[in-house]
Amino acid sequence: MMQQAAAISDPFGKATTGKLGMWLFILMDGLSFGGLLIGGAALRAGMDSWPEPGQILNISLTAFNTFLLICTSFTMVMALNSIQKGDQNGLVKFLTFTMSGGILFLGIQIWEYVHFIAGSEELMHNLALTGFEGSKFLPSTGIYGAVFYAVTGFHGLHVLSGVIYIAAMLVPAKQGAFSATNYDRVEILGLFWHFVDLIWILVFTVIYLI
Amino acid sequence: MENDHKKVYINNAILLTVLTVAELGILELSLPKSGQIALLLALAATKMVLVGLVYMHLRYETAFLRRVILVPIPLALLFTLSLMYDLPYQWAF
Repeated sequence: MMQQAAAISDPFGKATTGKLGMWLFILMDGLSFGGLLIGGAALRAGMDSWPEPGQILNISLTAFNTFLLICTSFTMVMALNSIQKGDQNGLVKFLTFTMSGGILFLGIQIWEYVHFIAGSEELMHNLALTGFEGSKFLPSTGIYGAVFYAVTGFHGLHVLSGVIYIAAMLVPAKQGAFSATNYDRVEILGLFWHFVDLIWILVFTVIYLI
Repeated sequence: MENDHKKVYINNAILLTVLTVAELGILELSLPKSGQIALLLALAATKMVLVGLVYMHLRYETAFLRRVILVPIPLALLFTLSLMYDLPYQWAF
C-alpha cells in the first residue's frame, strides 16, 4: 500500500486523492461536452430544418461503434477486476483488449470522416435532400456540419487520449508494477475510459439519433 | 469492490447493448418527434447511470462522494437552461 496514493477518510471513504482528482477532471470535462451539446441544440433550435436521423450519418456503423465502446468498458473494468485479484496477466490482457477496441473505434470514425470529406454521388443526393449543396459533408456544411465535427471530433480526441493513456499504463503493467494492494492508477485510468464511453452514449443519442 | 463482480459487469454490458438496440428500435416507431426525443434521452440517461454506477463503481462509493459528483450535474443543466432563455434576444442582433 506504500505506493497507493493517500486515501482520504470519512466522507470520501476509501477514495484516494488521485481518484478524487480524476472525478474532478471528469466533472469539468463533462461540462465542456455539455456546453458543446447544449450549444449545438441551441443552434439547431434556430434552424428552419435539420436532417433526419440516418439521412446523412450512418447510424448502423455508429451503433456498432457504440457497442464497441461498451465492450471496451467491460474489458477495462475486467482489467481492474484482474489486478484486484493479483492477476498480472489478466490486467495486461484486458488493457490490451481495451486499447485495441479504442483503436478500432478511432479507425471507424476516421473511415466515416474520410467518406464524408472525399464525397460521393450518394452523399450528394442525401445532402441535396436535406437542403445542402455539394457532394462533400464538411465542417463548413452549415451549422449541422459544424456541430457534427465539433462534437464527434472533441470526443474522438478523448478516445485518442485514452488509447495513449492505456499504452502508457501498459508499460508498468507489463513490468509488474501493480498488485492486489496497489491498483490505484489502474482504477483512475478506468474512470477516464468509462467517462469516454459515458459521454459517447450521449453524443450518439444527440448527434446521430435525434 | 475487492470482490469478483464479473457477473455484474457482464450483465451490465448485456443490458447496455439491449438498451442501444432499443434506441435503434425507437427510430422505427411512428411516434411524434417529441415523444421519440423524450424516450431516446431517457434511454441515454439510463445507460449513463448504469456506466456510472457499475463500471465507474459509484454504487460502491460513499453517499457523500456520490452527492458531490451527482448534485452539480442537474444544477449545471438548470443554470444552462436558464441562460438559454436569453437566446431569442441574442438572435435579434
